[in-house]
Amino acid sequence: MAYYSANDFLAAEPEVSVEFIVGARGLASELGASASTGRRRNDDDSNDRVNDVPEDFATKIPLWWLEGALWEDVDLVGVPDAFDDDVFASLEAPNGGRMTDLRSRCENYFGFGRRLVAALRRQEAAAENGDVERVERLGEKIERAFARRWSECLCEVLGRCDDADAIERSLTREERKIWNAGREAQKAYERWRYGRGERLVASKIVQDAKRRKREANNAM
Amino acid sequence: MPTNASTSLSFGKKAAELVREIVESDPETLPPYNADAMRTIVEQCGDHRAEIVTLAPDASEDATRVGLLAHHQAILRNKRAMLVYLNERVGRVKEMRWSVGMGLPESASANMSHGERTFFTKYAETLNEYMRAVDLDLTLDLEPPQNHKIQVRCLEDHGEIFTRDGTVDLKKNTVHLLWREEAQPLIREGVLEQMDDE
Repeated sequence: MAYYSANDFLAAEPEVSVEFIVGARGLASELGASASTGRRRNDDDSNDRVNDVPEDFATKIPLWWLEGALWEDVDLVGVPDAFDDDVFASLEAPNGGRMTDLRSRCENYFGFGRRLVAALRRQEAAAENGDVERVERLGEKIERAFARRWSECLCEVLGRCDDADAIERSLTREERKIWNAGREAQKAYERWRYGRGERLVASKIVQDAKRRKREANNAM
Repeated sequence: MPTNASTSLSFGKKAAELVREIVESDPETLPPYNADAMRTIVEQCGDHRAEIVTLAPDASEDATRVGLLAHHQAILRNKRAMLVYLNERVGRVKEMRWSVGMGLPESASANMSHGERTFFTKYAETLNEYMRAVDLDLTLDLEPPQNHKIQVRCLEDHGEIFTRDGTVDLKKNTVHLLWREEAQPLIREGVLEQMDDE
């Protein structure tokens, strides 16, 4: 069901730095490659080569480009800034999980991180002198970051939290889902514990429709 | 003759906008169906296909193969975006049957595509048929109730209704004590409002 998940879809949207190993025909205008650097097969060619991306052209593309067979012809270069060592260091600092604003770095930080690690692992495993261990270390850092955020931020939703709004603003998309689920669970617990029962209310759609009708009647 | 349609393709950007639009909307509402975006994405898939047809004769060349794969991946991405969008909307349409009931407000219906309105009708019919077969209204008491009767206030003039305790005249701002299962559908429609327990 991940195929139909909107969050999973958007997790592959952030860009990664790549190099086109053999170039690419017809993509220069999409990738911003200069037409003058487009490699010509030979001078007798028609103008069909001006839109070519040259060999070893470096650019940024969304991660989803690499989901198909294209990964074999494109090298991932480095990791995005959101996964720099200074970000992990800030998360590991005292209270770092709570203070670090991951949302501004990447809306789908952990979903993107998981896919990035998978893409890097595949690339390094296929390479002759691939450094799979480096990729595994990155994966572990991302896991530790999530564990930190879980214990310092997300668990706060189940208790009294004075800076809930500030925490919520810094949460990534997947963390917000967990946060909202925690909030609903807490409300359900309080309803059960204090025995008030669920108050029946009309759905938002009906309330909006009634309000619009009332406003229209008042305006007449 | 190669086309220069790549400048208008903007690989996957329109698709991402469409998915963001539905994700960032209030999950309890249904925004208007974005037929324009869907049409544009379908057209882009056609443009990608045209590029693939142009590149295909030289597919044995490495650089051409990369171009082909990029266009193919873009078509798959566009397709997935449309399915994600439609799936999210269908989930909300289904949820409306449970939260609103059969009487869908016109504003909600106006935001649906023709296909979604048809889906709502058929889904409601299937659910009603099943509930008749098991002789149980599954849409009542979605959470375990605390009381069999609840106090309600009437929000608008609704006329007389027949309950198991007799006839009740629902005039605006009157307060009544009704059986929960009889009051629930009217609360969902916005006719009644449950009052807080004293």
